[in-house]
Amino acid sequence: MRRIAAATAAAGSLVIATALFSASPAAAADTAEVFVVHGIPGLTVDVYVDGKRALDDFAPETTAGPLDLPAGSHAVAITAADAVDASNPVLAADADLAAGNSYSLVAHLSADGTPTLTPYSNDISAVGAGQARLVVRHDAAAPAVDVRAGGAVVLSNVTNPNQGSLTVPAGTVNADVVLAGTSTVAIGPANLDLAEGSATFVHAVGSAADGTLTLVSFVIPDLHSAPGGVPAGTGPVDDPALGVAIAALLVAGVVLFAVGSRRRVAHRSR
Amino acid sequence: MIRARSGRFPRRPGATRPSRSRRRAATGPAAGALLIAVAAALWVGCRPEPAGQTVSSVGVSGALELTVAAASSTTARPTAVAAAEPSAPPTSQPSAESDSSAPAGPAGPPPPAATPARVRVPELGVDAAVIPVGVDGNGDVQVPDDVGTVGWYRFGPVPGATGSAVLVGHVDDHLQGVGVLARIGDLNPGDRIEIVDDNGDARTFAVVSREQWAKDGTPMARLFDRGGQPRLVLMTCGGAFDRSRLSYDDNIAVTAVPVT
Repeated sequence: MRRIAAATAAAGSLVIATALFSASPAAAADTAEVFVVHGIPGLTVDVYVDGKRALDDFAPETTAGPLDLPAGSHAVAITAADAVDASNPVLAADADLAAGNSYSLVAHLSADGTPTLTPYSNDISAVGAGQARLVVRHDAAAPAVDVRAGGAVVLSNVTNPNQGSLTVPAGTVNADVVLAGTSTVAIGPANLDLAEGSATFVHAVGSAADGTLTLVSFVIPDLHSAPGGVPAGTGPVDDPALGVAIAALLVAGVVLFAVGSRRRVAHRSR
Repeated sequence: MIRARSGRFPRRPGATRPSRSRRRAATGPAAGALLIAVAAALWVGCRPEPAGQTVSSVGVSGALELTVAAASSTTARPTAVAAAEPSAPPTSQPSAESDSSAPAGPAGPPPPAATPARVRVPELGVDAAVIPVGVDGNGDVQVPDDVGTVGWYRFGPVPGATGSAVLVGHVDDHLQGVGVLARIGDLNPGDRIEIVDDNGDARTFAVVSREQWAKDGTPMARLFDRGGQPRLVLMTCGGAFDRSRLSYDDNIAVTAVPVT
């Protein structure tokens, strides 16, 4: 079980760095992958992992990763973009990563507008043939929302910092986010291209009060499954005339046989 | 003297003929049995046969090797020799054939693989349109309704790109008759398959394997693998036909690799 110990940040500016951490290609079996999502409007930051800068000048409303990190516990710190080290982070958390798993670390505003860091496990299980997975996370300073696809509610009453997931036929979905139980659009609509065999992670971020609500997404591909089977044949052609002829002969033959037999019995008994 | 009337013999004194009504009574069951026998003979002799084939598998290990990515990442199309099985029947090896219809020399990098539009199998006289298909409501491949049309599984690679490009077609249909891929079980390693894409570019493939399985043993993950070497798989149904379910027991698949 993953444990996150979140240290609250002192009020102050947040900056995120955007240089990707170039990890050596580690054996997949011993590592976990981490996506980082910057959902705090207006601030560029650096991201430190275990005291080393992993992301340099990370811009708001962008994502980074995947970073391949060894399984185990790691200290994550978010600092100002011009900070020289992680000694004075604005946000910090410890993440316990299990090997072979996929995570998102999302820097965002809580429901009341406080900057915070929330970890999520990314569902990277296989997606059925012809399908796509859609995950939506509420990471915005906004009340509960419903998520709609093509105008129909697909996830209802999602609150900060929770998520909802659904599997849909692969294709383009016209999605929006409305205040829960209403048709008041808070974000969108936006066209989401959901590729077959992929999982798309959509984060609603920003502040309703400041009018900065928006969606920030990334895609994990290659989760596809083979189809179940190839049903390729329904048999030889039925010839209706032949069928009728056979049926007629059969009926006539049975009738003749039955009636004739009764007559023979009747005769014998005389 | 008793004169015989036409067609009648004089009766022996004391002998009696069976009454006319009893003779009629005897012909009823006999005629009935005859009609039933004729109906049975028509049923057995005149009903059309299911088109599904039953074939022996060849070249299986060659097909299995294709699931591993080529060691050299710069190789766009491995030669057929590398994938051909040593114990394949003694048809001519694809690399040894000098096909006079092939271009005389490399004219430049091969065009990028595109959506298939046509499939030709000279050995079988097949020349059919190819359309992209997906999955049906059961999660199975959506095989084209028209038995003369071949489906390309659009969520996998195009023929010539990395991975297994799969083409499917009905072996037969109880309303339309025999399908265009009905005889792929006749193909042997070395036989050619040509794919023409949406841009009009043609690619030739050489068969490396022919396999048949009961449907619950069809290796779907391997056949629809999107990694490994570029290959083409043709699939249809075969084996025994289950009349109660209007469905065949088996799948037949032919795997082919690009030839230069």
